[in-house]
Amino acid sequence: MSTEALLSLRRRRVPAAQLVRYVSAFVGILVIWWLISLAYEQRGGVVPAPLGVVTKLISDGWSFYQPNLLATLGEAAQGYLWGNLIALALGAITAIAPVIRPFLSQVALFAYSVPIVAVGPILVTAFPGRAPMIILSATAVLFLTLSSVADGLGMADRNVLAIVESRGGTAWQRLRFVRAWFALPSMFSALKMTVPAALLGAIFGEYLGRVDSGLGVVLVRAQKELEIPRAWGIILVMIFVSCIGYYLLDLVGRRLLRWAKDFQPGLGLPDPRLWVNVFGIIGSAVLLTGIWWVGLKAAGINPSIGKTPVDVYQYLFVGSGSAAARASIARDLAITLGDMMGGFMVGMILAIICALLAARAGWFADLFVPSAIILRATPLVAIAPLMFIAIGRDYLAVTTLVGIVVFFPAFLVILEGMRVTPRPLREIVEAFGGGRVASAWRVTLPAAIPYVFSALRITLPNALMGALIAEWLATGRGLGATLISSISRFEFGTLWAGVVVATVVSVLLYTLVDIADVLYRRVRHLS
Amino acid sequence: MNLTRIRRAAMPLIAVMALTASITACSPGSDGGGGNDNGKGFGQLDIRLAWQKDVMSSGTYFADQKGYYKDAGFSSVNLIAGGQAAPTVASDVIQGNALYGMDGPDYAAAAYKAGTPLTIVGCQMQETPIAFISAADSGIVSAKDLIGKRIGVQDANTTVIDAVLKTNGIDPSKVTIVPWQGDATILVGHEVDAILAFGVEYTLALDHVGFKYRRDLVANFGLHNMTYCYEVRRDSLKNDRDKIKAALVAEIRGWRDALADPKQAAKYALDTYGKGLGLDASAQEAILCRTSDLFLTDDTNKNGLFWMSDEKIDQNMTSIKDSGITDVSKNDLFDNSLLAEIYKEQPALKTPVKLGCSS
Repeated sequence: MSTEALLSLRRRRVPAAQLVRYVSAFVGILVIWWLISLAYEQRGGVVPAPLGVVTKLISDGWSFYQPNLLATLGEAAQGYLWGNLIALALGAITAIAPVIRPFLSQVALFAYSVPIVAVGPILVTAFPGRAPMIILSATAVLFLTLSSVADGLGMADRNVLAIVESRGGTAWQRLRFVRAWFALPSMFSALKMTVPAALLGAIFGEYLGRVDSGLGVVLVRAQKELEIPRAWGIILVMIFVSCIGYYLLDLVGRRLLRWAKDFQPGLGLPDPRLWVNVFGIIGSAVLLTGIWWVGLKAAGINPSIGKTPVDVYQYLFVGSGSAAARASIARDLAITLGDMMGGFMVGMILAIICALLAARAGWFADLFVPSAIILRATPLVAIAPLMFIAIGRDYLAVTTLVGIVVFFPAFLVILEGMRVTPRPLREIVEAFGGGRVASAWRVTLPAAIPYVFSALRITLPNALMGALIAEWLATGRGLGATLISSISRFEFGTLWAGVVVATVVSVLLYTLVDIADVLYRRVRHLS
Repeated sequence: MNLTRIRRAAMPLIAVMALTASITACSPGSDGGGGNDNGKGFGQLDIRLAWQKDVMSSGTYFADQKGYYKDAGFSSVNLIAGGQAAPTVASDVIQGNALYGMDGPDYAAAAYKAGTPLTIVGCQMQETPIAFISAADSGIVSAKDLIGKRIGVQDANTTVIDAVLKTNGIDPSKVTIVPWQGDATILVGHEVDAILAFGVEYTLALDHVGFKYRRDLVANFGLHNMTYCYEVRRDSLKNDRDKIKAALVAEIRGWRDALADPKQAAKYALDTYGKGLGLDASAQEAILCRTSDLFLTDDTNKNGLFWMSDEKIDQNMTSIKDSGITDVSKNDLFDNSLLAEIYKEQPALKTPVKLGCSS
């Protein structure tokens, strides 16, 4: 899903013009920031002006940033490397033994859906030094790359595969000579998208203590000491680093894949056989339960902190307190789903509208797409606390955070879908007197629906995670808040049960989208 | 598909990989301890700090720098920092990641629910510095004034606000608790009427921006908690008694030095232990000086640093009961016996500390 290809679809451009667009998007963001800072001036400078932030950034200088930047980059780079290596290896396995593909991607999905907010403190208790930060970062990477690579590997041209097979090629040779090549565009898109994910995992890990340097560590410090310009400076550095990584990989990808620039990476489709999906979920749930159990024993976690699957089952279903425990979790979950849905709907609808606009109005795409790419490369959740200072801590705050987390990836994916709409079809509608609205309604939107499903899949786990984090940091109600307060109240039964419930709900939502997608395809005879 | 062209084009990819690998290689690894020789064979001492490595752990820095831990028989010291979303100190102590951690008795009591008894063997601060810092115009001067107000409370302090409300017979539904991550902007921006804040850092920061505030220790509102207490597992008090006692001697020596020389304490935090944190020297010194009266009370001047008087223990037990934990007995939770032995054997450690603060 090369965004660059997407940008250049409209008309070919010289690199200089592209640079100009990125720069103007950047300037636009600066101006908006400056205006917001003016609006908040009476409130004690909770949103500092750009100039003050840059001045502070320069006066803090390299001596302040060097150790912290290197520490965070070190964690993120290791997490990035491990996460991607594991994902690529697993992806290769799925190509050789396609039976386990739904199974493996479900395992990765489960891992991605576990609320890191809640398991972070347990990881830190179990692992020394910077290992937890690396693990968090790698987990954030794993799912994104694995699902892209698995999709890419499945996209190989059947005719080419048949040629290799007819000459007696083994599964490994088919992978090496055919599938791997077809998967490269998806792989590079994943390598690019996982840069902010790796960074975010590392920064979040640094909130968990243990380490004495890192951007996350100094960000916490700066907020506590009311060094607001410094805090924003740290965030600027995070964004900058993330964008650089994203841009470098984009560049590498484009150079490497020049031969494939007309290649349209397809969509990750769920397996059309429903039972395969069900098997994947049940199998991966069993496997992960096993890993959870063995992991606890192997790491030697004290039983009052590390609860086993049996403990969680007993907490929820056995004994006198279990009914109350279930009721309380159900109440929290209802709040959390409500928190999630508002932002999710807003983000999704806005994404569809903006994508429609961008697909039809060139100037809008020129302005908006670069900003969206910059903002998607931003570890948004790391800056959530500063966001809440500006927008408050009620339902609006949750909706905004979830909306943002959903909007940017969804917008870019859906826009891509609209860009591939065949122009002749639109022209037919217009030739018969249909206006722009009619052609959008009859051609562009229907053509983009598979991409909308894809966007739903990508953003649903993010939306739930966003809601949990917003509840923790802003509203203080719902599952997110309960999970965190159960840690300081030393109620680890509640914590583990909550983690299980949140994970299962996230996976279920994802599966519902898959099923809806499969049914849609059946009804429309698409596959 | 032209292979040579792809190989040539692969160069940038290799470059990126190499860059990643080099960043990976030069990133600082996990902190190793200092020396490794000497000692009575206690090995490495692992201590879980309450928060990041700032001046509030400076007694430990002195003990490390001046070799007091080595004198006590430890080969090296590993200081485990806390943080924004860190695991509780109790879980690190229970897990055995640290021999002892700096914690409040209320958290130690909470761990009893999970069936892991923890014991407090001494407290640095005789009263918690947790305070309601309210906007001067909010009109909060007593506990009853909290009714109808919005209070910013950090995750770790949810039990504290519960106890304050309970102690004063206030219906929790009448006070709005706002989750708060420790940034004083929430008060400056008038999002809340008051924050329930741990450190005096906030007052320094608020002074700095010229915000008018009022600070009431929770003790003023009837809640008494000691804090920065030495928390150990009950079974290590039995099995590692000598080790804990030796470490406590080093801690006493270190903290006597720190309180006598807050300037140097700030320097250690700034230049050695919290080097990357971007700390401010004068602020660090002021933080220690503004909390020194919680270390040096009439009780501790008479009985020695960290001593927990019967009166303090009783007050603390009441507060713990008010926070809803009733199944802990005071003799299980508090144990002065190590301090009693130490001060009996080394009376010189008991002499009053001469505070090194200017005013």
